Amino acid sequence: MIKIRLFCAAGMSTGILVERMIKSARERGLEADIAAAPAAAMEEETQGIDVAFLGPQVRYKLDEAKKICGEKKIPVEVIPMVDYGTMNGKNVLDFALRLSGREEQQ
Amino acid sequence: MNQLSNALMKVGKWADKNEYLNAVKEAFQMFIPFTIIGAMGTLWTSVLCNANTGLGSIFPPIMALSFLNPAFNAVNFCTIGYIGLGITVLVGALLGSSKGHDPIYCGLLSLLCLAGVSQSSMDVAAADGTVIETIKGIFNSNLGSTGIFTGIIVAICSVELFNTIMKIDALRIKMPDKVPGSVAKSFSSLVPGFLVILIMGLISLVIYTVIGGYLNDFIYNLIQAPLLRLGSSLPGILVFVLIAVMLWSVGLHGENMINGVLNPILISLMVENTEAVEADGATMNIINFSFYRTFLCTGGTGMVLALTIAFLITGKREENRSIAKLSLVSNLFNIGEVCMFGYPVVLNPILIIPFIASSLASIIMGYVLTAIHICPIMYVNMPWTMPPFLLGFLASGGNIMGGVCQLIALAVSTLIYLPFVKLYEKQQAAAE
Repeated sequence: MIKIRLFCAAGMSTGILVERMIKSARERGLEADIAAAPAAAMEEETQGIDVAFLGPQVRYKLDEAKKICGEKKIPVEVIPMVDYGTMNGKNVLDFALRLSGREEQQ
Repeated sequence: MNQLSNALMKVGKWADKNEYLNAVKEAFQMFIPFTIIGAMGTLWTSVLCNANTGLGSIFPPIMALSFLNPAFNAVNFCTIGYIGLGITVLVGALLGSSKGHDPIYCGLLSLLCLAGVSQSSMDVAAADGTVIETIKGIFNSNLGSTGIFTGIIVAICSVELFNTIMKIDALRIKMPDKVPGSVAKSFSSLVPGFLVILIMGLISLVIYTVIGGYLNDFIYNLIQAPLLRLGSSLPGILVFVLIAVMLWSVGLHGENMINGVLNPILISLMVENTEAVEADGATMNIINFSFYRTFLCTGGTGMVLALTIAFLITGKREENRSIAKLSLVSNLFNIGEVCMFGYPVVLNPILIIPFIASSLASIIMGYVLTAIHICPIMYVNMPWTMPPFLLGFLASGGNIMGGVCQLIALAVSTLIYLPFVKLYEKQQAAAE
């Protein structure tokens, strides 16, 4: 089970990517809890998650995100622009698995 | 390009770390749904059940429901009519929470301070100057749209003062360890709370003594009115638009970064219009929140639905067409990120040109169309995800021309994007 949260301004645009990531997880038979949320709710929404992502359009929040996630020892990264623009759920899910150190499970 | 990107990143980081801008931005984000609720009340009383301006003029039977109007008026009055009050509480609570204080306490403290600095009674005088009656109460002008900036400033000052005074140990009443934490807390903030309310009252007193008016009049005339005049002027809004689209050009969420400044202005202008319509007056502010969304954010900031349409019309390359198809649905709800990062527009020297040009052209066109009375002035707040045409139609109170003008802006933007889409594909082919 991997729990991933994607943060953008309102949690809307990342919502599309979330659907694609869920689809990719299902194809691999990976149990995953993936959802989008507004960046303003990061404090609450990072509770008990494995990986946090920021949409590239709010990448200026990375310092703040690292502070919040650092305390909870959660890896946090900005989604690469190309994967974001093409809504490449597979790549972003791969990235999440790498960040959480679960790559070898695949 | 990279240097520009880095410089803008710095601005973004600064704005994002600024506690005041953040509190104001989030406060407006939280209150916007209530302005939409209020707009539903307005839609009922001025668009549906209204014998002069609404459906009632062409479909009289609906007027049988006019006995409901007071209730819908109340929906508007208690939301949009109290926007200043709501913003005060929210800014106070959010700022307090970011400083590590209890948000409910800080929100309430800000509200009480606002009451403390407001005019609380008025003499009704006869023609010869003798006072007939003294009316008590805080006027709506302090709590509605004309009180927004006063509310923001009062909330920031109250919480800052509270934060400063709380740091002075001697002013906090300490309880023995056996007293429960929540009780001890209520005592420790007693003196600071008193001092904050007192100091705010004294400031108000000084202003009243010196200029003979209340704090709200002072702030309204000195800050709010000039800012709104700036924001409602065409050059003013074009500067804001330019900043927003420049930020987007390097892939940063433009609105999210400048909303701390932009929203107080655009929402105030919007709410002034709603209040004017409620009072059967004339709307005045061509530029407002819904105008911005209609003439800049069709499909997402930069009229990017037009870009997707341009790719669907003229695009020949499979990768571009597949992004256009992927993007189209989200564009219909004004989510532009797929376009911005997909084609991409971000850091793309060819597509940035029409991105900026169509933004400015669309705003100017919307302004001109409204000024010459082809497009109605917008006065209804709508969710930002409202699809094209419907947004212009509903934001102008159900006036078909509002929707038509949004489509005109979309068509002109498409024409601006088209040659650049061709050029971009040519360049892509050459690069292979």
